Amino acid sequence: MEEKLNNPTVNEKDYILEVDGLKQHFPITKNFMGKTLTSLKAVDGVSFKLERGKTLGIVGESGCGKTTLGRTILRLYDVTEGSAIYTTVNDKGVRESRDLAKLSKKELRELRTQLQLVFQDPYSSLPPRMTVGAIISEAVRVHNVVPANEVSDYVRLIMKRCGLQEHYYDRYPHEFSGGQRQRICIARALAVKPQLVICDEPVSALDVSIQAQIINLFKKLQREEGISYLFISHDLSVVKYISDNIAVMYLGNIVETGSTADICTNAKHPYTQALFSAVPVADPHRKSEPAALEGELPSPANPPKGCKFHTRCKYCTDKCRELPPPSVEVNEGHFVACHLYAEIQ
Amino acid sequence: MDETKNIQSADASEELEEVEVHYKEMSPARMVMRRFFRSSLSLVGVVLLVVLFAFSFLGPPIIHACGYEWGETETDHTPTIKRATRTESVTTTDAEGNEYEIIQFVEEEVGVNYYASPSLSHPLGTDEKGMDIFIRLMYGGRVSLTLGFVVVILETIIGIIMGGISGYFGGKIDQVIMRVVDMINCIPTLPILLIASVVIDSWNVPTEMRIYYLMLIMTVFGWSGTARMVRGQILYLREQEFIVACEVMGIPTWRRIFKHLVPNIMPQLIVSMTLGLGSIILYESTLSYLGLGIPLPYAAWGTMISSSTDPVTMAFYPNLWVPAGILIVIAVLAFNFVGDGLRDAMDPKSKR
Repeated sequence: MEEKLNNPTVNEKDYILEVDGLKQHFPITKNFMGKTLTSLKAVDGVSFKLERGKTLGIVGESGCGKTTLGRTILRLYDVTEGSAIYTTVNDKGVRESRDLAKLSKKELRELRTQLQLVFQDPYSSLPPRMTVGAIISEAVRVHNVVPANEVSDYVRLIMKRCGLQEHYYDRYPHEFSGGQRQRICIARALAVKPQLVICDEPVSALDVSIQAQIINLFKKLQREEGISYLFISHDLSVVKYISDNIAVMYLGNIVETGSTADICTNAKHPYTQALFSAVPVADPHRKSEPAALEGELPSPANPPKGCKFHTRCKYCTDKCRELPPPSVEVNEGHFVACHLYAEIQ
Repeated sequence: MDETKNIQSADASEELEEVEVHYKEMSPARMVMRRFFRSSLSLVGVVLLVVLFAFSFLGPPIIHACGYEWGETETDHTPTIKRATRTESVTTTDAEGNEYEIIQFVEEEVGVNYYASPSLSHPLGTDEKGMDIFIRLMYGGRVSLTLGFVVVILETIIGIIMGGISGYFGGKIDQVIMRVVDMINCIPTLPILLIASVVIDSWNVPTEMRIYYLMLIMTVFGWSGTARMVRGQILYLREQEFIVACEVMGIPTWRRIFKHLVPNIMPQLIVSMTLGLGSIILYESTLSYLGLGIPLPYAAWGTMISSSTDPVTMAFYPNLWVPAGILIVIAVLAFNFVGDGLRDAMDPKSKR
């Protein structure tokens, strides 16, 4: 399980997280022996790599498994299949890789400080009967991030860096607005000195002006701390702004992944193209185009055969209905899972 | 000119300092205290409780030091003349044929001053055994208040632990604990208590020790309701995102249950505790009636009420049972006031 790579090749990129064929199936019905008969395939074979200190944006419509993917990587569910290799580098430059999908609960607890999650809803993700100081300091105390007598000062420092005033220490979460609450959530995640933060739609519950503040806070913290982000969102403009790379998810699979520039300007997959054409443009005289996507997301309990997108794809061929498309590298680091990527332009 | 400038700047700095002071936050514990004592009802509750406890625990020594002669189990043996409640009427006929009805009131001198009316030496009179009611109220308060408190706290602690484990872990543990709760709830309590009373009798438990057995029995039959309530609340709370956040933070399980889940069910717990207290005091009287509780001649409020069940006492000697009833009502009300006050004070969303 634990492999130590003592001699990192110079040219090799430093990946903090390498997810390979990750599957998360939730059982729906079981037979009397307890064997799963049908299951909901929320994440169905996802692979991606995240470089240290970079941001990978994950986009997709509601119900495509973005949130489940983030939570599966954090092992909030038991992984069905696949691996998520998490690599740390210690002071001496020695790399240590561990497969998050196979760690025991105890080993996982030691890693909890390094992997953090920021939730979508800042209203329900803060305990209502704890003060801000207690919320932020709790994990710091539990994991002995700093010596016990310095915790209070440390927490105040973290609060300051996240844009919270020090005298908020003894206040309760309900006294704050959504944006401030999200700052508290970020401070809580940041206080344990994480390497990788999974942001699960952290700004979608906030209004636009606050969104910009919070995203800039994320960027500032990344510059200062070198944190890597897995940034899950359905808001393309937000993802475009913060991400170095983007992965587009559809029904539990990643259909296209590449650098932000590639995805935004040179999308190959019809689903990605449809997503970007649906971004509203601030121009009242612009003629609205016909809806690029029709129909509903198929049920992940019973996904379509072949290419999962074929039920809604306007270029659909017989091949698409039968064969699941392989992931093809069209450009350096730009992968597309579509049979027709070369023909559609 | 320079001077005025100086003054102005001094003023400005003072203002700044004031702003700083204004921003200083109160600690959560102080805020709870402040909110608690701001409500007049909870103050009334606290005062009533203090008075009741002082009455029960400090009352007897003080009143004895002041020369009050009666003790808890002491019978008043002063010979008194009692007009019996029974009357006799005899119809006779004299020589002239007139009919007379003679009604005889029987008065007798007895060695025990029972059913005495309130007087200076007995402020609330005496009961059917000639024991002073006022002093018995004091001693009875000791038993009733201690019993109520201890049982409610024990019940709640056991209920939180069992319900917490059941709700948090779920699965087989939940099944086992909840079936035990069901069993306790569906066994008719009274027959079990009768059996228990016989068993305890056969052990020759000393009278002073019986109260502890009583507490034990009442706790065993009482924790199931609290456990059920706690479980239900935790089932609801553990799906909340802030508990998922605990998991991500790597907070240990016991801390998750007792630091994150239990504080959020405090309001319901306090309500159930305050309501439970009154019923426990009354329940004690049932048990005493069955011979399981505080045996006569020792006093408890519940026992004092339940011993005056015959219609004559109810109708003609209210001084035997009304004072104990009033004290129970006061105790229950006071606990409710304090409970309400605490619940509101501990809710961070309530006004400052």
